[in-house]
Amino acid sequence: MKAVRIFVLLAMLFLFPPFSLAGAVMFENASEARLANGLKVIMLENHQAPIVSFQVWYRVGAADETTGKTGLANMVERMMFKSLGPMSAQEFIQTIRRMGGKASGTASHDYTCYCDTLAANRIGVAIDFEAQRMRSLTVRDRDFRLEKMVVRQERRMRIDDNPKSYLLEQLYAAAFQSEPYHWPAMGWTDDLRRLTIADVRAFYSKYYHPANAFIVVTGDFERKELLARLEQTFGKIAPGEPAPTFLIEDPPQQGERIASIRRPGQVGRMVVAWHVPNLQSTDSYALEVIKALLASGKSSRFYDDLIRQGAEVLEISAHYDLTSKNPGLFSISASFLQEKKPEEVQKAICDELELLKTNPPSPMELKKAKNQLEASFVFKNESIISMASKLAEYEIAFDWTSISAYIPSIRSVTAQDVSRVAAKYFTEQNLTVGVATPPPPPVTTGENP
Amino acid sequence: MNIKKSSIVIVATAFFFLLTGSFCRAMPAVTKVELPNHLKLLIFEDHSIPSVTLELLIGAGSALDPPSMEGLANLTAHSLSLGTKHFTFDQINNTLDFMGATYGVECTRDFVTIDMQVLKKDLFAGVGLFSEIVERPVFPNDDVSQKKDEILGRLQVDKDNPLRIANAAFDEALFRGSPYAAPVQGGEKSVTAINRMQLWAFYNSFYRPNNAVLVIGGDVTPEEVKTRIVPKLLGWHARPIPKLSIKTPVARRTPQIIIDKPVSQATVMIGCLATPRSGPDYFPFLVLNQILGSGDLSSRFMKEIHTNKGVAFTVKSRLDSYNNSGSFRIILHTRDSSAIQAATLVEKQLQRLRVQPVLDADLKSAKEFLTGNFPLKYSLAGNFAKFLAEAQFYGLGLDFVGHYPTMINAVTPDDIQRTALKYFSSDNVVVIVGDFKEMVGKGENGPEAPLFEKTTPAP
Repeated sequence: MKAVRIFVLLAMLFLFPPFSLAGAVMFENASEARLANGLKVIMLENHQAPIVSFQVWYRVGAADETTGKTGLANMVERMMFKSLGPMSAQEFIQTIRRMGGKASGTASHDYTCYCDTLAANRIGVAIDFEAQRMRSLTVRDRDFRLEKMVVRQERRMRIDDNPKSYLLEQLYAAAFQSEPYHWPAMGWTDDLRRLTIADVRAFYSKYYHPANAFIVVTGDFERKELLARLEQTFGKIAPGEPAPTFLIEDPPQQGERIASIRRPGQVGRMVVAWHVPNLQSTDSYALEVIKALLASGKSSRFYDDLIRQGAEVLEISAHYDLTSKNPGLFSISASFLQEKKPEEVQKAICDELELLKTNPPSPMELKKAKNQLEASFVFKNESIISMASKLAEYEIAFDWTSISAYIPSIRSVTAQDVSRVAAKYFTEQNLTVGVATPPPPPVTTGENP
Repeated sequence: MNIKKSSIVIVATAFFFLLTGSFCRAMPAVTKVELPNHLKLLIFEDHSIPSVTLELLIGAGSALDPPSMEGLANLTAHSLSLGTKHFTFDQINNTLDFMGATYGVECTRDFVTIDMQVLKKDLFAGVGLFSEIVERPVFPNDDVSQKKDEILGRLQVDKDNPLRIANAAFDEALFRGSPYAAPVQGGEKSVTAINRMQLWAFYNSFYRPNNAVLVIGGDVTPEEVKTRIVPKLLGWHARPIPKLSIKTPVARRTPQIIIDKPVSQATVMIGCLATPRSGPDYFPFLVLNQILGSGDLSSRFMKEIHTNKGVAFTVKSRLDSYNNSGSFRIILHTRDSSAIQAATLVEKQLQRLRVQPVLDADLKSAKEFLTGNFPLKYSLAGNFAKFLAEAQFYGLGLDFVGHYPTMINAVTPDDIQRTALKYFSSDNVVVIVGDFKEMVGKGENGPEAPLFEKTTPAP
């Protein structure tokens, strides 16, 4: 009887979708303005709590580095927290912390951002400091040398000693050849050694100015008052020239690529990846749906077929970022017991992808994936920090206003889109596989020592 | 029984937090209800997004694992959703996924938490499923076996993670002879041996409403909870909870361990026993932890070991307080060759706190951060719900949030020094996971390596 009731419940949820577009309306009050020097400001007021997230995003990241000097965007971001000036970075962090707020920075391939979250009535502290950060960079040689050492150590721990991260680094290096996603955002080990303080200053001068940045503010502020304050601070900075951008594209892949790693470990690891477009293609929404169909929740295809029924893998997940600035990868990561053969694991994963091409999801399965994506969109944007970051990521990838298309576009994906997009991108020709397995045990003679 | 009437009578308290400072409006009011089955229910409203969070805390943590059955509490908690009296695994997960709901389980040493986040439109369906999972699990044999395999697989994956290896060795050494010594998830041998009947017995003993706290927060009103959710919770029956005495660990001469692993960066962990959660030393220890190792560049460890000596690229400290005891550990990452030197520097800083009072400026800064950051830290409904449930479990009282700034601000330099004298000694547990030959060959100014007990990770 209960089973019948749960079927009825599912059917009701399917037949009568919610009246409110819960996720679609979350950003409907966002707006933008430009300061006199052209600096773009994206705003979303939310007066639920007396806090603000003030974020400055620079349109520069590891993708703007050059061969031999990788890791520079990250190093510049790190040096920003060692800067001196009317208010030193350390004083700023101390001030923010005393107010119970937090200040952080991140450099990815596509962007560098500085994110300050603090009490609404102290937003001026963040505005003044971030404007200073955009105006000038004063750093000491000693601090640079120390930070360089720290970054190299951190790289060893986070990547070299981490089997999963190391495999991903190798996979990206194989999948992208001339494109800048080829190198890690943290930089290659040898390149880090080569970086100089002059490199940091030159990179800063080239990219840190209003023409190459934008501001995002979310939370408890008043638009008119905010813009007046921004005009007095950021508005006084010379606009600078937009940094030149080069779209470097690899030629189409001609066949499967393999990055094979032998290193000690308790389990085998695999990443299977295909080149795919970002949100500038409408196929990106079908790829989002495919990600959910394959790996979201314990009723997903991967969990059901490869863990629960097949016991092929220990864990498995799918990754796709539709807001990458340039086309990226759709990847599937798995770990498996050493007694499993990697080629069998790869076949089991690829068979699932093949199935999408020939066997489109049922209306119920498709609806389930869409519901998951919509709910996740709501849950992940619960805080003003994540709302600001989401607006910024869309701005970097295309235009922040395109965020409003997410929920409607997900809803418009059909089962035929899923099959079509799977057939278009998940091909052997477009495939890169990374495999990490332990080295074989040493050969013994069979005699006791 | 007329449920609606009884619920109205039972609604006991509603209050507003009295935090001072700029964030005072940020903390929502909380209503507490105790249901006829003695389930404690806390409700708060936050209508900023159309979702509702459920956080159920049950006093059924791994400290209750019987000897040689380590991992039983964890396996029980993770097996609840494998099937219930009315629904199969597939039905449960199809329904959860169709709603886009999140469902999570965490087993800690003292308690288990089960949480769900669901869109408002699906709230009542979600609550129905949530209560079914908690109240009527059946622990299907095949599914439990598979869950065991999953846990065993994860134990295998963890062996590649130096931090997890260090944490397990540290707890085992620090809490020797106490149930806190074993990993929450158990070991390969104990997990393999657990059977379905043992899950049943554990569940029947501890999964009772009179041993639980449920927090419901988000886009929901107390009226909705009373009329539409409470009725779904009343079928869960109270029973006396077995009183088990948990052996409290005692300080003793503790080991220093090197775990030989071929990594280029060593993980160093140093620490000692610490205060229980509801003990009088909790707040001084919290402030002490902030001063020593909050993780940012202004913390004492980062200044002395990272900035001044350049030995480690990151140094943090962590205080974990439980019902009967607690642990304090400093975690740092450094080159293998600097590991022993780094451990020595940490020890020196711990000893310094015993003899030198902290500076007023450092104390003030730590207090300002802890009080000011509190509302921001708990601004997400899920985090706040977890915090409320834990405060209730540890008997800190509903007015704990209001008292929190007062308790922090009352800590004096003498309190910090007294705490350091009480807990820090020269007998700290030291665990280093790194490349042994690199450590011994190149360490500078550190203790001789033979002081350490060398082990290799289990295959």
